[in-house]
Amino acid sequence: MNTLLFPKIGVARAIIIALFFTLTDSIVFGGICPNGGFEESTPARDLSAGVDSTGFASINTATGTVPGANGGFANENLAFSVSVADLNADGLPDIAAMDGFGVLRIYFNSGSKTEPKFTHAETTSYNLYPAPLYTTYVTHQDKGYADYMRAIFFKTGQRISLFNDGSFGSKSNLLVTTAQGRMFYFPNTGTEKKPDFKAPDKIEETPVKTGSFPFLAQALSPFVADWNGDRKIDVIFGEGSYSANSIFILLNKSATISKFEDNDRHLLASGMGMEQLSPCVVDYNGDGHLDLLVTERGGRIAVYLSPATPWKPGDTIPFHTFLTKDGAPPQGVPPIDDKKPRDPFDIYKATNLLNTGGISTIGTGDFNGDKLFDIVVGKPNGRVAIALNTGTATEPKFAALNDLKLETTSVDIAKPVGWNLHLGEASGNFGAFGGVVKADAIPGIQPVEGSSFLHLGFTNKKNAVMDPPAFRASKAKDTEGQSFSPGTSVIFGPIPFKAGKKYSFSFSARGNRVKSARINVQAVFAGGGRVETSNVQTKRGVQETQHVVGREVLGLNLNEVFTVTDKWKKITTKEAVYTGKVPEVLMNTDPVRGATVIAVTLEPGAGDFSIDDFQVIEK
Amino acid sequence: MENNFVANFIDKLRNSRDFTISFLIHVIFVAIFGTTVLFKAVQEPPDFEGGSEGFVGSTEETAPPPQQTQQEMPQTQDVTVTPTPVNNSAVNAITTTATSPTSFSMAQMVMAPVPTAAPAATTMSAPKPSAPVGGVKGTGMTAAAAAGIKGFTGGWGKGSGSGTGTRSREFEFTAYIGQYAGGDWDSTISTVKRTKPGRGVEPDNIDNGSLPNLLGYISEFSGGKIKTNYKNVKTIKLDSPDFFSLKPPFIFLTGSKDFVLTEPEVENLRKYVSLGGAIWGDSSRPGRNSRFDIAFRREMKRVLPDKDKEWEELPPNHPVFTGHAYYPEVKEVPPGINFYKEPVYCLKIYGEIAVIYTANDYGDMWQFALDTDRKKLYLETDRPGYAPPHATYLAQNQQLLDLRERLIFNVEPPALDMSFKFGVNMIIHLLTRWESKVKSATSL
Repeated sequence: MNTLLFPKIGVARAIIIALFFTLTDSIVFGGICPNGGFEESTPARDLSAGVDSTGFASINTATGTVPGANGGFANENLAFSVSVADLNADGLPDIAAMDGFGVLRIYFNSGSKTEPKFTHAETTSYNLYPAPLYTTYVTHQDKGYADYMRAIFFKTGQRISLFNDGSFGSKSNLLVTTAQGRMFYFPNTGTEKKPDFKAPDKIEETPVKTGSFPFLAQALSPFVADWNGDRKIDVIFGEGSYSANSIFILLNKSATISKFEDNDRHLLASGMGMEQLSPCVVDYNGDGHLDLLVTERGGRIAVYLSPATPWKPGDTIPFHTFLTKDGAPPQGVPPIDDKKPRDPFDIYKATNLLNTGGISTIGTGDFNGDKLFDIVVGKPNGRVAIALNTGTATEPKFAALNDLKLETTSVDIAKPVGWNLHLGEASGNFGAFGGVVKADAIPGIQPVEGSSFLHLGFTNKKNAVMDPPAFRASKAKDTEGQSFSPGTSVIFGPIPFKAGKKYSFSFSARGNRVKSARINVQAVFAGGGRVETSNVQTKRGVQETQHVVGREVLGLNLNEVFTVTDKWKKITTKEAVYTGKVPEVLMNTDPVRGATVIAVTLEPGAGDFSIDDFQVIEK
Repeated sequence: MENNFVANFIDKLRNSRDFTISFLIHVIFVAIFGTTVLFKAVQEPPDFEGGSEGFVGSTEETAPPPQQTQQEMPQTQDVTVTPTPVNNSAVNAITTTATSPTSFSMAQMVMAPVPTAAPAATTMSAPKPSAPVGGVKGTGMTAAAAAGIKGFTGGWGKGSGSGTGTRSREFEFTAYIGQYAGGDWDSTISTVKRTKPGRGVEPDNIDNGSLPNLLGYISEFSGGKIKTNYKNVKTIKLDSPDFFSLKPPFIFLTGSKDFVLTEPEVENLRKYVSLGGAIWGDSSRPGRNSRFDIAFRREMKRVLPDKDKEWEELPPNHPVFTGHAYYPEVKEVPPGINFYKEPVYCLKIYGEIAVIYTANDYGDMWQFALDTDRKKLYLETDRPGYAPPHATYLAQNQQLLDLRERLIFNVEPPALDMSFKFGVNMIIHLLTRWESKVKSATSL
């Protein structure tokens, strides 16, 4: 780290320094990116093992555009997905959780029949729609950005249902739905005691056929169960579409999930004004008929009770009530007339409803061996919560949704101030770690200067029950600006530039099992550009349109590959200057944005890389 | 002789004891209950006997629904649902526009108390039809009703002809979007507030959106025969007395939330449809049992509360779907947003549409701008990535455009074009549906 610019210095000393650099026509930039030595950092949660620093089961959540409650679209939490099954044949219910970015983890229950115990979550090989990482600075206008965002779009908001169709012994298989309404079948590629869900290369191209519609619904939330008792598993799904929102059933004509026709889809229950529906199936009142428990946008858990008569296509399951604390009657609302169809509008306002906090997902399992179903919820704040059933087989009761406490904790990551790290876990870079590391934290690695450095690697929390997750081989080769290679992480820092000036960069780096490393630098001019207004004549009159000029990314023709060894090495790039045409309106402006992007590809699960003392030199 | 007669009469009575006893009991019953009507045939209020008070003859009016109390919502993010009983069975009075008394259920006929305040009929400029002679056979429409409808609905089109025959006719009309209390009545339009000298800020000027685009479409492709355009869309408050001077051919109601009409709004709409007006509801959230879907069906049953007149589906042979419609290629309900294809529902009076309800969110489809060839979306722009200007005659909703094929499906040009054509068919039908009926009223 250059200690001349970054520390607190006296005025006289600063003048001397400035004079020195003026004479040598060379300035080492601090400015916007002063943290070249990675001395400053802020804490961030490390949820790579599904546990936060306070010991609660926590999952990364994602937000995305969904139909909002107020009629339009809104950026809302997409909810992570939970499903319950015995995944390692020990007779205990385990909890699978799909995080907001499409990483599937499993909390294995290591307790007993009567007392569940969870330590941390293990990561599976599941990886649907692996997203590329962009390795250059991109703006909203660039194809690279669009491609990346498109991949992230398909990646986020995936939801799951574990099920056993009997075709794989006692192993549970996986049904996955995307927020865009597609459905995928993942057979359990592990063993009875070591589940896993490796995807074949082209699975994105082979969703479960669902008839003639290109999609089933948005924010699709599945649950697999034999609803009509014909010994064929059916798919029940709730939707969060720009629509009325309903719960549908896909009646299966075969033993496994492979294909559905248009006429296999039937309305099972209406949302009745509720939206973002996530259902699960359970015999709620012990009458031998399957019922529905449904979470919805407001965080309430709705109960739909099946009538005594056997269900047939065309029948819809009526809304019954929302779950209340301890099963008490809804309070603060008029008494419910059991002779009339119940209306959620009436019961919304009850003051004693259990509430998950917002858009959530739900599953059930018996976690304390009392033969009563308990509830597991994926909460919008990322925590897993369990509500134990304290009622009876015919009258379930739930006192509260308690966040699941684990036997371990995680250590927060130190995020470098002024830098962004893209670790690519959503792209299948499982267990990737990146953060500021203090001296002596990693044996054998000391900072080049100062007391800390930036380190990339992989988490120490290894899978205990399952084999390590497999890194899916990339289907596409890396291209300029995009990396599809597993093990890739990107370090991204904003840098100030001036048009016409020359720059070079230096830093110290080291690493093990580094497959490739590259630095790429670009500049973006003039604070995001300038808005120009023009008029277009139409039959509706003159319409005003606005354009932005000067938002172009201007390459500095600096795109260097560098190599590292396990010892620190100082690397200095060649000089870079933008020689292309600078928009005249921007000639005299100082660009406030620029970027250096360092893309490093490690041997997946094994490599590591360190960087320190990053400097930008203007000449 | 007289004694013999009396003796014989007594003998006769004695010989017919049963009859005598029965007769005496009847006499006693008549004496006791002679002034009380034990079984009374329920008479419906006379229809459209235009008296001095206005169009609706009966002074009895429906009792107001139970007070809608705005209850506190629990701590949730979606405080959008207005609490209201959905099954609003508290219809304390039944009024109807039908003439057949047998269509009523006696159990439901609890007449409301006479209101202390006269209904707003005094502010109406509705016609005062003549005595109820004649009428339209088979529809229940009296001559008075026919006259009223003729007076209210005439003037939108010149010449005659229905179905595809309307293509040769000229029409001129303004369309209205209903502003109702609560909910989001403007969910498929955008409004701007313009300041005019001396008039300050004018609220709710419609800038663009669903109905403006539909009118733009109909204007553009009718070869100028239908003299309306995107500017001919106004807003109207549902409790406004302007209904009866402006004579809107239909009121477009849209939204995505629960809402409860006020009693003045209900009254106004009831009178409006009684005069031949039409309410066209279009849910901004396709599918059954959305909040708007539930609310619209419930509230329209307050407007037309006849128990026997339930929502019915427009049949496949309805004029808007037959080969005789303005656009004969519309042969069935076109799929709406996200491929929803709910039937078109309606409530009728005199066998004609009074309330039409489309639950496939055509309003959002009409927020997409087709290019002039109607085969592609209007996407021209001199810089990719920036908002395109309006198409030549339609306005593009940029947000929806950005979400197509991501969150909004079935918005490719062929589907959009069909939805526009369906909208045109429906408008033409609403403009012309009474013409033949009121013409055939026997006493006009």
